Amino acid sequence: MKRLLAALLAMATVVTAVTAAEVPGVSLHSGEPEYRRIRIDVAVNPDSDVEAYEVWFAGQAFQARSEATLHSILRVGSTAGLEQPRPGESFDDCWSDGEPAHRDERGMVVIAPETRRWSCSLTGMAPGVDQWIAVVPVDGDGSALSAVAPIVARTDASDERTPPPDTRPVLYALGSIVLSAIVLLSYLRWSDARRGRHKSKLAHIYVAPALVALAALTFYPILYGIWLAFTNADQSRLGDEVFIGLANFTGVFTSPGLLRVTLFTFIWAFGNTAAHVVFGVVLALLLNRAGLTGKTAYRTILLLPWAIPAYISVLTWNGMLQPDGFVNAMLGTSIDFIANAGSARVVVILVNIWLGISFMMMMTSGALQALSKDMFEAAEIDGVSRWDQLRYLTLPNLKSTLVPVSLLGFIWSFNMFNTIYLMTRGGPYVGFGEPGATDILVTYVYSVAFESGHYGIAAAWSVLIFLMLIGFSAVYVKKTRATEATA
Amino acid sequence: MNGQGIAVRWYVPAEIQVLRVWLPVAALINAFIVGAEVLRAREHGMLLSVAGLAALLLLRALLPDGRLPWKRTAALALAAAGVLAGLWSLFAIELSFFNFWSNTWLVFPAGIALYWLSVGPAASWASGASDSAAAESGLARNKQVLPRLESFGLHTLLLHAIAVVIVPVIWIIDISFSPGNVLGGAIGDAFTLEHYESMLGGSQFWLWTRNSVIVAIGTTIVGLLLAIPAGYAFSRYDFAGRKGSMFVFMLVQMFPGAIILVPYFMVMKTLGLLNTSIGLIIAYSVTALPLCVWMLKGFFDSVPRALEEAALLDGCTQVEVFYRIVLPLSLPAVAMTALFSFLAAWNEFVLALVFNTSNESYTLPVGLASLIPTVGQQWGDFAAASVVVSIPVVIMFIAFQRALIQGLSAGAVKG
Amino acid sequence: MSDVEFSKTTKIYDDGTHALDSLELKINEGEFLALLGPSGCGKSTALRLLAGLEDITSGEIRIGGERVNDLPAGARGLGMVFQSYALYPHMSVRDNLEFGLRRAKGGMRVDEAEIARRVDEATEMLDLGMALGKKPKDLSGGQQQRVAIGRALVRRPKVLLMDEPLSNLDAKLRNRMRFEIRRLHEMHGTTTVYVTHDQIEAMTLADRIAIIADGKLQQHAKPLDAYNQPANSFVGSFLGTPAMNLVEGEAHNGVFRAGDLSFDLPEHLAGWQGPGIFGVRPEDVRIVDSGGTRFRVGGVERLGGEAIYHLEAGGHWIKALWHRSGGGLSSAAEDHAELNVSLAVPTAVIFED
Repeated sequence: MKRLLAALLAMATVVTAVTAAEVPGVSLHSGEPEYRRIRIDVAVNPDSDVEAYEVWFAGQAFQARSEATLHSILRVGSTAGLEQPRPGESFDDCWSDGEPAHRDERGMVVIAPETRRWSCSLTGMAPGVDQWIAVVPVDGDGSALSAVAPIVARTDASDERTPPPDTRPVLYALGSIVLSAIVLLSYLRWSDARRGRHKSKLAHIYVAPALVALAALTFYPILYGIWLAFTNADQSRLGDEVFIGLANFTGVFTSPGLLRVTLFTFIWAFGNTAAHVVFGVVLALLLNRAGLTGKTAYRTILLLPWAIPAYISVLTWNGMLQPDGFVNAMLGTSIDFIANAGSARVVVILVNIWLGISFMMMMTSGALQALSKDMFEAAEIDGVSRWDQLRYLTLPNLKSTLVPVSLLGFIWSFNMFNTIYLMTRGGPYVGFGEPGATDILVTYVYSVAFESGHYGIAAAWSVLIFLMLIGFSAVYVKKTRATEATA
Repeated sequence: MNGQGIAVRWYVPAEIQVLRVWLPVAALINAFIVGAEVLRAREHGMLLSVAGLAALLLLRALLPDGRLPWKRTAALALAAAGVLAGLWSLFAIELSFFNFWSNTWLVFPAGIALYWLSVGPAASWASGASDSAAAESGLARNKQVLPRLESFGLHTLLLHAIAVVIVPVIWIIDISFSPGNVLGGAIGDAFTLEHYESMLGGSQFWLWTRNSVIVAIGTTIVGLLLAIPAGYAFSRYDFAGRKGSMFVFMLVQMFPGAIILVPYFMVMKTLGLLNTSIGLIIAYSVTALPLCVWMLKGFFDSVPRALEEAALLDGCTQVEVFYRIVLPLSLPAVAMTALFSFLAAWNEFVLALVFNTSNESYTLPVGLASLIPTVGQQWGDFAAASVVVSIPVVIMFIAFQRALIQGLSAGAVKG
Repeated sequence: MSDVEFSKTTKIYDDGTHALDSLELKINEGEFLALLGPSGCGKSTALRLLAGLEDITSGEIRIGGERVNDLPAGARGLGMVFQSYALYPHMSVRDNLEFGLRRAKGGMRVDEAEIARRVDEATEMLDLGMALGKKPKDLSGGQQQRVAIGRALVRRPKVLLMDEPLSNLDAKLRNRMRFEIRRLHEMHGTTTVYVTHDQIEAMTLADRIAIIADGKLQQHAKPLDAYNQPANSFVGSFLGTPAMNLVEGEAHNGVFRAGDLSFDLPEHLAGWQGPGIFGVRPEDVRIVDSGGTRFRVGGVERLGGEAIYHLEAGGHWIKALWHRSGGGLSSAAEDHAELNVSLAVPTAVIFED
């Protein structure tokens, strides 16, 4: 986002012929070609006017920046106190004087003013075609300080397709799981036969396909995921990951965002569930009033958030909450709600509340209709006020429905990926390698796995989530049984 | 207990009863307005809404009780202050919709309190001048007035709820007919079909639709083939491992795709099933399986067992009983379950996002979301496609709401 | 004072149904009144109007002399036992008994000691000691019934209302609870209005019964008076099992004629002239050696101690009851036998309508 903004800015600036600094000496790195990457080595003379180096590229020769695409920006400045992330942890890997380059809190590369040699491995280079790459020193206003002199480079690495991954281990694992499920079912069937339950002899065959499918496609991935959490699997090491012990877990538990993302996940799940229950119950009570005209119409419209596909609703809200969107028009403001951490958190929760009320309302409506009318008439005769009837009769009797549904709702919210991904992608940005301000655990796992490509670390986060979910499920089962017993 | 006393003791004018309930509701809405004003960072509005909130709460606390006349005077003064503050701010600021709405929620409650407490039966009751005759006629009057006031309040609240629900719908429809990619503009200010033409006339929308249809139908078929026998077995037979496997089914239901996303992706990648319909069909039919099994079990439970026993006596085998008796009888239920898994697959987003990396294999959710990237958002096209995709889904949900809710709650509550 | 008075009480529902039409009824203090009638006749409506669960369209209801038309249900000081018992399912029996007392408003609240005293008393009286801690669903039907009565009684109601309280019980339990309700009434002397469609309950429990049909009061009398002197043919046929025999025809000079059937009227009805409905109870039908009317036996239902004969003459069917301890008919009569039957008995009646 930042980079693109910078690109737009740069394009807007008129290219001037100011050449105060030396043209950087750009050469191709002599190492092995990488997948869709071109690595350049750059030799520069330290110059006090240079505030940043821009790396531009295009599919043909170019003389001006306006003809090319901005690839990266390296800021020149003090590197004191900045992190030096290991290669592979961020978008483009850069080195200054042979060391991994420093990055500021927004992930931008910073090189010290005295640096003479730096290099970058540029990603996203189309394979098999020539690319022109130029490094341009710029001043504080973004004006070029030297001529634009691209070099030609080319990567063919991706033309050699990576050999198809070895499917045998997965197939063996799946096969053995299927076999053991079948063995288990056969044993159960045999034990039934021994105990003389012949009527149910077909039962195990009926259940078998579903159970086997479940075992192969749910239990196996869970187990496989647990194994992955102990390996160094990532985007470049697929299929030949090796066991690295608890390193991923150490990483998870020492990661700076752990507490924050967990806390926000719980606030998110709890806030959503509470609001769903409160608003759902209130709406159901309003709709349940006898003699309400237009009940069907109200009910149908209130069902819309449940009926409209969630991803469409979320994206629609995304549009309405844009600075020039509907909500700002109504408020008479132009706030970018999702740019600010605080308002982004509020907004994603509000949108998710909007999504979930209908379902809770329907569930409550059903339960309300099942309550005996006589009970309320008896209370009426006893002189119990309406409020006390609600407090002491209606709500306690809804408990047997609401407790399991809200526990399940909590688990659903806990895992609600769509709303956050489609509203903010977890943003706004908080810190390099940290979850974004609105990331919850599942969206963060997604970004670790599929945006950064660290499958092993993502699997370790998944295991953490898994353990939490097991905890909730235990509570759920216990509570459900308990409310069933008292209902 | 003196008979005349009862009416006096029980009589509270309808107006006061209504204020007792609605002042806190109005205060609650003012509390919400405070939140919005904080977001807007408008100091003036913030102060006013906090003052309004306090005034309404205080007014509620000072509502006359029919015995202490001074309370009426205090409440009147407070209500008048509320009205004046609200009116002043209404004239002092520019009139955006929100400002108008938020001020109404101060002016109207305070104004109605002012009116009721100054004239009419509530006023005389509040000043403590209530005898038994007045109380008796008041009780009779309450029966006329209360239902009307209550239904007014009820409709007000429901209309608010409706507005919150319907506004995004209207907005997205408006965007779909608005030229260009503008988000603002008044509703209904311009009309064009360009977005519908570009979506429906282009190939990409139909490609996504085709993918979605294949995946959803495949999921439904595979899911039902797995779920029907299992649901039947759970419903009819008592067998070793029944409780255990039912528990497993319930447990799995709580682990949605997001948790096993990474290993799922790795397995699919290893098996070369990324960017294929088969990968998604397999994943969807298994993730929807537990709920389908629970739904079907519930439906099979309601088919009387005597029918099967009669068929057994007539010489049918167990399998024949299933196909000839149970399945035809529960056909509507099976259709509901099919619809359920179809819709689940049709609307699923995360797995489709992870499994499909190329535009050719996008399903509708991923395809539509791809129209709204971080930069270069095509709102108009997205809106048009959304409207087209949503209409049939919404109709299905509304038409089969009861059955779908019943099925979902079968999984949630009875589990 | 806790007498109840309906005057010109009318209830018309929104859909235009006349549920209750100008009911005039006075229930004395301490009296046990049964509102009896077929289902849908308006008796439950009358009870619900009295309870305050529904609004009166016109007319008045007074409790203890005070007009209660517009008083909310909770202000009327009543106790009600519902057909479904309407116990609070999530509360223990003790909480069910206490709830109304704790939550009552409008100065009807009762202090803790008094609540405890009343609950203890009700528990003992209704033998609920073992059930106090249980939830309603863990109780038998009879126990639930007793809790419902207890809940109504702890309020010390001015009037106790019961809406078909026994109809959800099985026959045996119903007999026992009937006896208990009567016993409780005698102990407390609370004015009671008891709605039922079961004439046996009405006859055995009530001091007086009010028979209602089509929203109109048909007769208000002591049970035996209503049985012996029904006000109209509806009351006559509604009270008594088997039902009273009714023959529609015309009386002329002491002879009643209905199509092909004609017979002499008893002395006390001999003065009747013109059209009317002749009624005689099955147990009063007599066989005579001579005279009377010739009836054919169309069928016999033998119940052991008694038997019901279906007799036919001139296209009219009547029933006659034989009882072992000496009834009007001989048990020897077989199908198709012909008997001389006298309908001119002192208990016979003629109705105008």
